[in-house]
Amino acid sequence: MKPMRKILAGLFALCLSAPAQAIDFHFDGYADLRLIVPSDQVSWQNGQLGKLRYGAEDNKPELRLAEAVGQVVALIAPEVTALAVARIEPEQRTFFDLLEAYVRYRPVSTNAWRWSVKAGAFFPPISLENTEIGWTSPWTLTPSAINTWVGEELRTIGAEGALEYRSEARTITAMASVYGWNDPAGVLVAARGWALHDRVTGLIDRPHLPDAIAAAQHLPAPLYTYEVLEIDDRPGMYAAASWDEAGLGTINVIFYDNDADPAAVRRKTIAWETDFWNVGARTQIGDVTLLAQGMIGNTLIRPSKFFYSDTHFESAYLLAGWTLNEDWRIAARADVFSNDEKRPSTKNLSEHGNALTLAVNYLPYDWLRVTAEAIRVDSTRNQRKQSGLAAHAVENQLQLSAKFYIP
Amino acid sequence: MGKWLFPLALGVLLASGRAALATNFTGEVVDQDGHPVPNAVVTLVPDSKTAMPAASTRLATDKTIDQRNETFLPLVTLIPKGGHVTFSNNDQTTHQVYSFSAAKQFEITLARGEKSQPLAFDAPGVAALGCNIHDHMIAYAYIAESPWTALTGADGRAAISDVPAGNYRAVVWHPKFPPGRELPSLRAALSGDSTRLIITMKLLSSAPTSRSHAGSY
Repeated sequence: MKPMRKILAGLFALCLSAPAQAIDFHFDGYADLRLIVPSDQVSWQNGQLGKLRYGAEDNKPELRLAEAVGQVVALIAPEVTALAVARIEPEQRTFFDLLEAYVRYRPVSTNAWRWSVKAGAFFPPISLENTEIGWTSPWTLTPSAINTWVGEELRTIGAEGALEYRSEARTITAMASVYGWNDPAGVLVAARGWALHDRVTGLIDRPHLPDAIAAAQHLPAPLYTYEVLEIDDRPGMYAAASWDEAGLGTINVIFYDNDADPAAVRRKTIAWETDFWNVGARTQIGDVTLLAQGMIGNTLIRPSKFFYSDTHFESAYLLAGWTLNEDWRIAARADVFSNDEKRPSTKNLSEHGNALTLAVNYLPYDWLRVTAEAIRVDSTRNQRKQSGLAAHAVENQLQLSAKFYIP
Repeated sequence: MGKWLFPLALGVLLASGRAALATNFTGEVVDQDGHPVPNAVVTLVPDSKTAMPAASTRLATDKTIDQRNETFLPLVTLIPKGGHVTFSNNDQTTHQVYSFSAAKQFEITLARGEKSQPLAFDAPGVAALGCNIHDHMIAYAYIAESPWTALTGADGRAAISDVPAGNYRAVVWHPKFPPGRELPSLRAALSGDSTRLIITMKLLSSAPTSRSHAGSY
């Protein structure tokens, strides 16, 4: 944690050191109030194996503040932008947490090539859904299983360089990154399984591990995991590319490898050696936007000679979003996901499942977005038996959200 | 051809009482669904360019492109070859206006409330304009060689008056026309009082606009 604090302090000092009058500040944000009809499974946030944000631990129905998010963008110089996103969320460890904080340097170019570099803490370029403030989606409240996981466990804390080739017809971008403090990434997708929720992990937050994991290790529940922690003092990397063709759409691909040492342990947290490929595509047919992503990867721990856990994970989704007019957007998404875990015992953590999401968004003013969302997750996970539950579960959640934006 | 053109032109002259051999042209641009296309540039290219006056003899040579609410206004600016554009930042933030198009390569940083010096556009063509800070900002400068060039309004119509009678090609450009393809054009034999042509363009489908709250830069 200490090096990360130093980075954040450095970014903050950089913002302060520039002449204040010359800096343009731009503030954005929102407060999200929700009326929830939760599922009848206890949510993973409370140590069980419910895959949704809200579950049987909540009242039925319940009105609550989901979160309040503030974003500040500081234009330190025309070519240097700093951004920080802070969040208040009732379940997180601290009153405030940060989702992202970074500086970008992008010199202007008057030829086809443009390069840039980002440093700080930010999301790797994977999600095609989470394009709005606070890493939210314009289409649904709940992101796909893939992007739920990206929001939970992946944050680049390091540097990313990008090189773009631009023409009238297309933009082709290549990106590469080196980062640290991401060695626990993989623990949630393996030890708890895929989930579908919009509760992004903040930089100082510690997500709840399933109580079944604590029981299996004869440890008292609850157990929490670090997400931002350097365990093996070895950097990770990713390489990514995107192709945006005028009139056709965009495809992107990333290979991500945190290159963790699966035998390393620090602060009782094991390093998960995680690598994956993700491919995404976006296209527009009339008023309908189509998004699709597929991810395939592996995560491994080997903390002792006698134990290992090797999980192959994969997921995909297809989202169709219909923009009726300035005020209305409707989206439907189908997700599939599965894990195949191998370990030296029969209590494996494999799973498979699917989800259907339907959302209607009404944006009558720039300061208000009302979203109604229904989600159904059907999954089979043997780990539920360890908590005395049936392996197969169907979870349904209804949410009505009113987001009030800073105008 | 001159044999019959003269009596015809004379007839037009007698009928309208206008200057000899001048006529009016209206280009009506529609998309593949038959909807009128605003912000299209209609230009008349004469078969023989030898007598074509400079575009600056008819088109306004000095234009301003505003930046308001992180949007360039207007979307398409028509200027003659050799014309000038002033960029005017009416926002509370800095803009870094640039173009890497073959027609014009430049960059100007404008602090809030600042106006640029007039910038000359000497080569004909289209310059796509962007802001290096705000990626969603985009606009186009169409630098015309022909003096008989006009922009379509909301009704998809571009009116070009006082065009010498003769043979032309009416060519249309629009920001949403697929890049790299030959621009749609029609033969236009201009005579008589006025000529009206309907030109259909197949445009790229664009995402409908809805309220958004964009996140990371």
